[in-house]
Amino acid sequence: MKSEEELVEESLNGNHASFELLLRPYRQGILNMAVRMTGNTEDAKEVCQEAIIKVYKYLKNFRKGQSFRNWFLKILVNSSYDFLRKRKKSAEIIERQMNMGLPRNSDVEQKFLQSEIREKIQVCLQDLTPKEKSTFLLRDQEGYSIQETSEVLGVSTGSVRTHLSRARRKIRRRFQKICENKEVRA
Amino acid sequence: MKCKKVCRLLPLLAGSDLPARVNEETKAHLHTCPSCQKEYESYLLSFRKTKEWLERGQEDLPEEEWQGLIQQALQVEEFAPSFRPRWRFRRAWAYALMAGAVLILSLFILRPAIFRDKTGWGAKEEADLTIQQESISMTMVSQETGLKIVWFFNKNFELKEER
Repeated sequence: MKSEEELVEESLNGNHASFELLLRPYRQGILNMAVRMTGNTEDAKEVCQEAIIKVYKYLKNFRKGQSFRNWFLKILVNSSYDFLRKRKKSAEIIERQMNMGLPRNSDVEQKFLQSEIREKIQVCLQDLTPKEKSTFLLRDQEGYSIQETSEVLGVSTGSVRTHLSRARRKIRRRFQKICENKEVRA
Repeated sequence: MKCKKVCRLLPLLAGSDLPARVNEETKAHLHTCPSCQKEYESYLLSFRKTKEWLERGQEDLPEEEWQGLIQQALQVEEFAPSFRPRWRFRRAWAYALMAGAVLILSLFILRPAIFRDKTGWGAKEEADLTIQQESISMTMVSQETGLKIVWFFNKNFELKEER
């Protein structure tokens, strides 16, 4: 089995199969990360596409000895930020034009009561800012340490702890609300 | 450790993300404070549940779609040119460079003020300027006759005329 460095080298020499082999181990990971970041599978695929294109385009800049997984995730997280920024802008335009808002919290909570796991996660993540979301997902979903998370996001470990703490606090608040609603319904 | 501080640390404690010493201190407080303990348990519950949901809610791309994503990326004509410099960027160097630039700029801006005592760089120019200021001349030429008159004024505005 070839190492990542060899696969990078071969991809740079124009071997497309090696490029596919290089990315394959992260297929599920990047999709799930993007789904949590964007909130739906269609947008997630778009983000993945953008990230894969950037990886191919800038593979030349990848430094030997660096972790390819971290580099790839960093690109994915930055692509998600860009996507969310664009989506926020277009949502504002649509809201202005059609005088129609995004789903309110109560609608989302109503959805949660019909309860699918994916919806539950989205409800919990909905209050989080993109930075808090990416920090939380890297630490609690991908299992990265605080140090590794700080390296991927390019911020200090103190900053990672702050974002993580805020994210978990917001999630707990949302989680408690959901539990209360459930009890009331029961 | 006070309850207020412990409450701030609970989200990190739930995921074992506190440094060892703080971790011990916080746990010691929890043994003595039932309200903080209750708060901690609610954090633990939400932490465990969301982790469980994150694990159970994993999705995967169908093989066809995955191949499609890769193929679309490969259509990018060629690798982008590398703009990365050969040296590694270090923040300390950037700060040192900026400090140097500011120092040089400030020397140029403040120079006349610093060397006003006429012992430094600006002294000679200032002395020349004083000498030049001691006399002023004015030349008048008649267009019709070609007569040329030069007036000299000294620093006391005493006139001397040359034809």
